[in-house]
Amino acid sequence: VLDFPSALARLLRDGTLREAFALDPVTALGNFPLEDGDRAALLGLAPEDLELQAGVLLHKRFEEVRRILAFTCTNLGDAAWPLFQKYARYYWPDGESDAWADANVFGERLFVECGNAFLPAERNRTRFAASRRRLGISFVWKFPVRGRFRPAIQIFWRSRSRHWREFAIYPDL
Amino acid sequence: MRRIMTMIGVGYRAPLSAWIDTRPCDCLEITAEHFYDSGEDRLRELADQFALFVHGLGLSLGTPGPLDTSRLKKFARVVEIAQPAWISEHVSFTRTAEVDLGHLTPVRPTRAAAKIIADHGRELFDYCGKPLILENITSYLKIEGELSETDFLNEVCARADCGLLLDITNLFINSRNHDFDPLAWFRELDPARIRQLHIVGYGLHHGRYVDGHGEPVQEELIELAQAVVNETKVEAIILERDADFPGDAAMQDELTKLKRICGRA
Repeated sequence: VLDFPSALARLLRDGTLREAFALDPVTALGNFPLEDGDRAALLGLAPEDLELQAGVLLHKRFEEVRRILAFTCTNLGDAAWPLFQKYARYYWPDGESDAWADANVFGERLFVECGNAFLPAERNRTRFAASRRRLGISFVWKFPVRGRFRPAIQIFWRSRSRHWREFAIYPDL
Repeated sequence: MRRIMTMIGVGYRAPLSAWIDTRPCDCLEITAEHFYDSGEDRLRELADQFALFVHGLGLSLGTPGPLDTSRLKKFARVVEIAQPAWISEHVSFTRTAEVDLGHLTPVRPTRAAAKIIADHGRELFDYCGKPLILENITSYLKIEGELSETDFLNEVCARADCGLLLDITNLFINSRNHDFDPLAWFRELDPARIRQLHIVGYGLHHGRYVDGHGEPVQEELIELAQAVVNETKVEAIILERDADFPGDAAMQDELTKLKRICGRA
């Protein structure tokens, strides 16, 4: 039997399922092994309320990702949130919440769709964070330092406890 | 209702750190998750200067099954350092076996769900050795169950033998989005359970009331908080702010509004 929180979480994380629920709730929940009371409660939910609640969750994810991809999201301007929604509505990472992994997947999609907007220094960072590598070294032409961009060597290092740090070497122009 | 000295405080956030160091309030509420991986020295400093409360966001008391041991240990470590008068969490779930939603999500108001939350609440109390209070959340979802939301909260608190952290803003937002009288809703709660209030301004987005934690406290919220304070023995009111932080003077003005509610300004 699927418990109520698990069933509700499936609806909230999956835009495709919510679209199916809006069209035909009984069929959308047909494969969910629910107790009768839980099924009735879910069928009683208004699809537009589900969308609003899911929107709150997406926005919370976006806030985390925007902190990580600060320059990229600034580059994207007003397009950042719609692009994130388009990606996140149909993709939710399994397991523990991991903003770095989320930022990495979103960033890679951005790179395909509008590569110029994805700051390479941020791409290097999210790719390293999402990997298990112990060491990463990259050269970038644009590394943000006190409001200006400098050429820099980014060095990423991960300890045995899996915490990682970033060092940057750049000319003090 | 007998009036007691009500403490006024703020939710500790890093951007408010310098202002908080001027000791503008009686107490602070610490978000446990903000200190899980770092900041123990700062936490000790704060514990030396203020009465602290420890507030959790991610223990997911409404998830069936055992509590997450790793999170429980981290939460208890924060409690050990902060030595709060009480600890708090939410009547909600944030996580299931499949996914971490990362946000407070409502449970179905049934006796079975009340038992799950209450059992987890008792476990949390036993693990941390501090009294527990539980908070009402805001939600766009209206979920039908065996119990009304107020009966559900009363049942959870009675089963867990814990207090209630009444979030004035969450109550107000829900009342507007779901069209009910917030004062009548409040009066269905067991008043003896209410120990603490949360308050922050609400926002409006496309005609819906939202809990953005980025607005100054509006007059309607002050009026609702005043009614609650008049009819209960609230021990602490915490001003929350997580976005669009104003200057020190504006924060002080917010605290003065709250002191007025308690007849302290």
